[in-house]
Amino acid sequence: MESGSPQDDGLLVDPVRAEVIHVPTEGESGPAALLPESVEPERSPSPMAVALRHPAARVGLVVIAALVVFSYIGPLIWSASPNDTDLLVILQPPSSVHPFGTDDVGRDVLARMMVGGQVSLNIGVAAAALGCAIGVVYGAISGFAGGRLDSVMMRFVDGMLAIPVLVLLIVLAAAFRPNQLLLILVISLTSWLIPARLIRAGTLSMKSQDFIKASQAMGSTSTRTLRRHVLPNSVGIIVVNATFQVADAILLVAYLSFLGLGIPPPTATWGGIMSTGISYINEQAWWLIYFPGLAILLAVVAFNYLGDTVRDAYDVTAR
Amino acid sequence: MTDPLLQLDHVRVRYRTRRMSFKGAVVYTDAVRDVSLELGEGQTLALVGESGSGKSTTARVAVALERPTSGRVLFDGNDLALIGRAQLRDLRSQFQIVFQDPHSSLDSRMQVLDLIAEPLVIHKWGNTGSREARVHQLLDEVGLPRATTGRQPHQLSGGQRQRVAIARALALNPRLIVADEPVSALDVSVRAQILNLLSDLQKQHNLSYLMVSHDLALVNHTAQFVAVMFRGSIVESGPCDQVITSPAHPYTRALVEAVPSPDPAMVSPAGTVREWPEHASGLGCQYANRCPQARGTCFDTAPPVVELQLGRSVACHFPLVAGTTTAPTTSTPNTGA
Repeated sequence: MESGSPQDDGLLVDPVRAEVIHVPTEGESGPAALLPESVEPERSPSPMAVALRHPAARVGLVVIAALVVFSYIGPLIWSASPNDTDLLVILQPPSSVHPFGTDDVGRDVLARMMVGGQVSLNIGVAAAALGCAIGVVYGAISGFAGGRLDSVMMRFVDGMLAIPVLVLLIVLAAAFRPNQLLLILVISLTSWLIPARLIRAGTLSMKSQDFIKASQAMGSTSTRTLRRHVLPNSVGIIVVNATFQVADAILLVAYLSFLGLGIPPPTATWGGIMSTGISYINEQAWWLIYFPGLAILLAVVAFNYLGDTVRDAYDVTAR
Repeated sequence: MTDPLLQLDHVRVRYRTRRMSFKGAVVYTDAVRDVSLELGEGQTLALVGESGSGKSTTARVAVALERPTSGRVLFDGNDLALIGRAQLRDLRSQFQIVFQDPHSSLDSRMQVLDLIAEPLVIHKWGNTGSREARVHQLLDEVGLPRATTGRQPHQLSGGQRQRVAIARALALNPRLIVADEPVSALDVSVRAQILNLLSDLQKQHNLSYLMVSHDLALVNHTAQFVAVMFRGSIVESGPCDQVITSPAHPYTRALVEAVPSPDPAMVSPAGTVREWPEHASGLGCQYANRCPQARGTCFDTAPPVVELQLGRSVACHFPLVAGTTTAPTTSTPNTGA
C-alpha cells in the first residue's frame, strides 16, 4: 500500500501512536501467534442443557413426567372404569377399593382423574404448540417487515387482546358442543397473541443488529434471513413462552370444565370433578376438590417452574 | 481514465425524524446531504469524519443496505436502484461489507465454518465438500488455523472474530469491500494486525476498499485517498498525504490537529474540534459556526466545491491552500485518479 509512513507526515509524527499503529510485517502476524491453541474447539453447553441442571427445572420435569405417567400409563394399571356408575357407593371417601373415593354417581375418582389428566395435557400441549406456531410466524413477519404492515398487524393483535378470553370461550361453548379439538383451536386462537408480540419485539431488536444486516448484504432473501437467523435466535423466547402457554391452557381448560362449559360429560375433566365436589361441599366430599385441585396446581406450577428456569438460562447466555 | 468501480453521484439520505413540528408537519433530517465520490479498482478511499457526519450511512448506501433518497449509486456501471432485486442479490457477491463490531456482525449461534460458508451457500457456490475446502483456504488467507471451523464466535477473541468477518467478506471473491470502522472495536494491539491483513489482501486480490474511519492517523496508513465528511457533506477530498499534511478546509485542519500528542506541553493550537449547535438558518457553510475564520459569506452562501488540483477538492470559501487552478468549478469532490 502506498500510504505515507508515520515518519513522513510532519503533522502526525507521534511516537506513541506510530508505535501502536506500526506493526507487523508479514510473518509476524502468522496464525500460530494468534490463537490460543489450548482452547478446545468444543461447543459450549446449550441454554437448555444449562436450564435442566437447575433444581427447579428438575422438579418441574419430574412432576410433569409423573403427571404424564399417571394420565396415560395409569389407566393401563388401574383397571376401574372412569364412567361406570355404582349407586351403592356414591360419595365414598378414599378407601382401598377406591383410593381417591367416588363421586355422586359412584364413579371411581382415581380413574376419572387419569382421564382428566389426558384431557388437560392433550389440550394444554396442543393448544400451546399451535398458538406459539401461529404467534411466531405472525410476529416474525410483522417485526421483520416493519413499517405500515407491522402497524396494521400489531393493531389487529391489540384489538384481539381487548377481547376477554373467558367471555369468548363461554360464548363459543354455548354456541357449539365443545370437544377436545374445538377447545384446542379456540384456545390457540386466543393464545397466539402474546407470543406474536414477544417474537415481534425480539425480531425488531434483532433486525437492527449487524449480523442480520450482514446476511442481507450477502444477498440473502428476507425469508432465508428470517429462517436461518431470526428464528433460531428466538428459540429462547419461543420455548419459554410455549411452556407458560401450556400452563395457561391447562388452567383455562379447568376453568371451563368447572363452569360446565368444557368437554361435556360423561368425559372426565379435572375441573368437572371439582365442580361436582363443590355441589357436595356440605357432604364433606373433600376428595372431589382436593385431588383435582392438587393436580391442576401441580401441572401449572411444574410448567411455570420449567419456563422460569429456561428463561433464566437464556438470559444468562444472551448477548 | 477507466470507469470507477464504485461511484456515488449526489447521494442524499433523508430520514423522517420522530419529532413533529407544529401543525403536524413531518420533520426530516439529512444524514447525507450531497455526497459524490469515486473509487477505482484496487484503490482505497477513506471516509473520515466525526460521529454523526454521515460516513457510516454513506458506507451502507454504497453496499445497498440503504437506499439513497436521491442520487445514484453505481457499481461497475450498474445503478443499484435500477437493477432488479434478483440482479442486485447476484451483484452483491461483488461487494461486501465488514462491520465495526464483530460481536454483533456474526450470528453467535453459528460455527465459524457455517459463518464463512454462508455467502457461498446463499450464492449456491459449489457443494458441501468444496465449500469446506474454500473455507479452509479463506482461513489460511486471514491467518486463522483451520481448527477454528468448529468454534463459535464467543470462543474467539475480537481480532479473531474480525478475521472471520473478513474471511466471510472475501468468500465470493468480491471486488469491493466496504469496511465500516473495521478496527475501532478492537484492542489497540490488534488493530495494526487487522489493518496489515487488509492491505495484504488488497495486494493479493486487487481489492478496492471504502474504509470508514474517525481516526485520521489510521487513515494515513491505509488509504491513498481520503474524503472528509462533515454533517453529511464531503468538505475536502484528495490524496491522503496531501490532505493530511496541508489541509485545505478548516475542519480538516482541526481534525488533523486533534490527533492527540504525547507531549503534554504541546498545546493544541486554535481551532480544536468542538461540538457546536447547527446554525439556525441552515443556509451557508455547515461549518461556519465552528470555523475560526468564518466571514459574512460563510453564513449565507453554501461554499462551492473547488478543485484545487487534479483529484483534490475542497468545499470552502476561503481554502487554506491555494490551488493551482483557482477558478471555482462546479464539479463535485472527486476522489480517485
